Amino acid sequence: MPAFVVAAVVGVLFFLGYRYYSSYLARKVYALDPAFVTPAHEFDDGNDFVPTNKHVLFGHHFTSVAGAAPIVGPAIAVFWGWGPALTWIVLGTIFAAGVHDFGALAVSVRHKAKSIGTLAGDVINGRARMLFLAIIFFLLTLVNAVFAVVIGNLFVAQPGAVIPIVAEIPLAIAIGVYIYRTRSSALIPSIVGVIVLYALILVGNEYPITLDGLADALGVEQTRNVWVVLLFAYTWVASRIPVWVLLQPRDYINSHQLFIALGVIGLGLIIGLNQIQAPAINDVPEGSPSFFPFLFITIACGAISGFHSLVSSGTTSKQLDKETDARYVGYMGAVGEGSLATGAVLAATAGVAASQAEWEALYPDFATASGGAVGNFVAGTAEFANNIGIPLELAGVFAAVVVISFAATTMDTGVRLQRYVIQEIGELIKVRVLARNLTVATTLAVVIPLAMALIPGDGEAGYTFGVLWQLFGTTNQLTAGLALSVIAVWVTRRGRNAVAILVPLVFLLAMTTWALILNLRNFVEDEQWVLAPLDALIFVLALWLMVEAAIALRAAYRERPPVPVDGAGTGEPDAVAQANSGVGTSTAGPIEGPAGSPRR
Amino acid sequence: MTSRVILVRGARSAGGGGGCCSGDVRPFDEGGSHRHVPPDDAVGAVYRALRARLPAGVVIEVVSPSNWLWLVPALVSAGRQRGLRGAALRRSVRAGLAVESLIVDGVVVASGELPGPAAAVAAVEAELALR
Repeated sequence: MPAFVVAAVVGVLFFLGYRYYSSYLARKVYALDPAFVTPAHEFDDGNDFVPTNKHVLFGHHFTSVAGAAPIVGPAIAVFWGWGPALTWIVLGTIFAAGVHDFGALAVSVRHKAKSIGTLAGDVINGRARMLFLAIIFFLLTLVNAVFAVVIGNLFVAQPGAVIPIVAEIPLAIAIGVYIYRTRSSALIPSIVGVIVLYALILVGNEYPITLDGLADALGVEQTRNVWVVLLFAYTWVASRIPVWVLLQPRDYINSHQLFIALGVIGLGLIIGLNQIQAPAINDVPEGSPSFFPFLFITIACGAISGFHSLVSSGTTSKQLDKETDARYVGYMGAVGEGSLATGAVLAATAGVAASQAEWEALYPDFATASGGAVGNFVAGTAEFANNIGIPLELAGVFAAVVVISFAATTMDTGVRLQRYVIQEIGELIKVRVLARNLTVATTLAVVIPLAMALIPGDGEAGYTFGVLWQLFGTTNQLTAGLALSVIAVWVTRRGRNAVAILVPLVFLLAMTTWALILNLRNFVEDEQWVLAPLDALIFVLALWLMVEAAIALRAAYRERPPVPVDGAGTGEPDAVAQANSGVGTSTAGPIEGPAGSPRR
Repeated sequence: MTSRVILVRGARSAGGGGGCCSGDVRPFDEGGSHRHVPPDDAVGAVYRALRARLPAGVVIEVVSPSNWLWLVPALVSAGRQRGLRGAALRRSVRAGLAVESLIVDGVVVASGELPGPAAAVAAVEAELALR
């Protein structure tokens, strides 16, 4: 089947999901009201809280959620065939991610733009905040571990990418310093930066750099592990320098690369008329993990990602001009990420191979599929780039540079965020050195994922990456589960039908716990004494989440008002508070933002 | 016609990230030494002053300097409406894209560094009075 036909069908389904399902959510579930005074207006300070045009805000939101993660999961998951992978991406985006991203934004806006971690404490109970911290800690640990492995693998597979990627660091610093000193537009310098970066692909391709010799000298079995150590040493430094020096200018370069990559995939698909070579449902070898439940944790970002609730409730909710904009910004953000995941599926099924036999050679078993997934995406994207006239060898390095640029920025920011989480945990458990000492917090934020990337799996590349990726997917889905629990409790307390939220919540929790149990059994049988306790710990968090969600939902259901509560912005002051007067202050929900006063 | 004032944020403003699982987030609203304290930057001060003085009909947008996808078309279309073409239009767009710029209906009032709040309000009011 031609890949562009599949892309067109997915596009139509996403359009229908946005047109009809998000409209239902906006009217019946979240009861959005255009007259509601959003926190952006209530606390309007020109810094964090600014009423922002919905198209401007969508740009911010989309670039904060789209990156390397929705590429890797789908590229692994096509192991089960393109049918299950694409079905989960489409259904997940429409019925889970859209509900989740949109819901987190809508609930946060009704609660003074508080973040999901704080809302978990407010809407569920105080323990939920500790649970949130624990889940986020594991999520960030695994994010940093898997992306270090992704970059390490790509450096080994595409040594031509080393020079451009290393040169991108001083290039970004030069751009940052230039903009800071001259206070000029970043557009021209960053476009020049992208041109220099891509010109360096020629140099990198001419002078590929490998660390095989160093690995041999050090007695390290896998060269990838040497790269992993170097990468964490780099992030230790990078995560401590101001954002404007390196992170922000590199993000300018990445923002160009995101659109260039999407354009190359889209154009290459149409011009090349590539056929999907993977089977719709793959007859996987005996002993492989079954797609129930593992597909649903292998593709997290791209179908539903808990991390989006942090973006929705962290920065986006502070800038929402009208409450009704939440539908466009939140739901479309999920659709955007689903589209990127669809592109990854097509690259790994249509671009990467010219025949089914060729494709099957790339995906013979789950370990090989996991270890080679990113390489397969890179090769598929290179083929699409080749369709538009870029030589295949250079196109491969180009695709690797794009993925590594995203993954490296993910690590920089991930380590930075993990430092905050460690400091927060230090304060909660009253360990002053964790809370106050940046060096200690940063070192811990680096050493734990470094150990995760190096220790498990006896160095078997595909196995290690495959299981780490699954554990990352699990923690991401648990974050989504926590956010969906908060949204479901909030909707139930308003007497509205929460089925649209409960279905993805129950499905996600069932899939994650099922996968955790199966993996725990495998880890114990394989005597994986790093992965088994980690899996057990995450399993405990999943059980904890289920108990908290069940208790909170039961209480919410008992206390729900007899008549569903409309949105507050009816022109009458605090209609929600009046409608909930019999509910009691301990549970319902926290006071919502003011209504009735005119928006500016 | 509704007037539009655009404020371009400074280069030091928070923002950016690697997308899903590392994007622009602040997981906590409160906390200890790591908590996010909004910088008292020039853009915020000018924004508050403009918001307090300008009539509700004037739209004020605060935009990140990296948001070219929105900024460039907005600046080009406003410039063309004012009759700018060729090099003059290019200069105007470049000036508007600089950090800490202040743009009133496509006219770049400040570029690269914002004046103080009172001066910014006076400049915007003067520009609006010309319409």
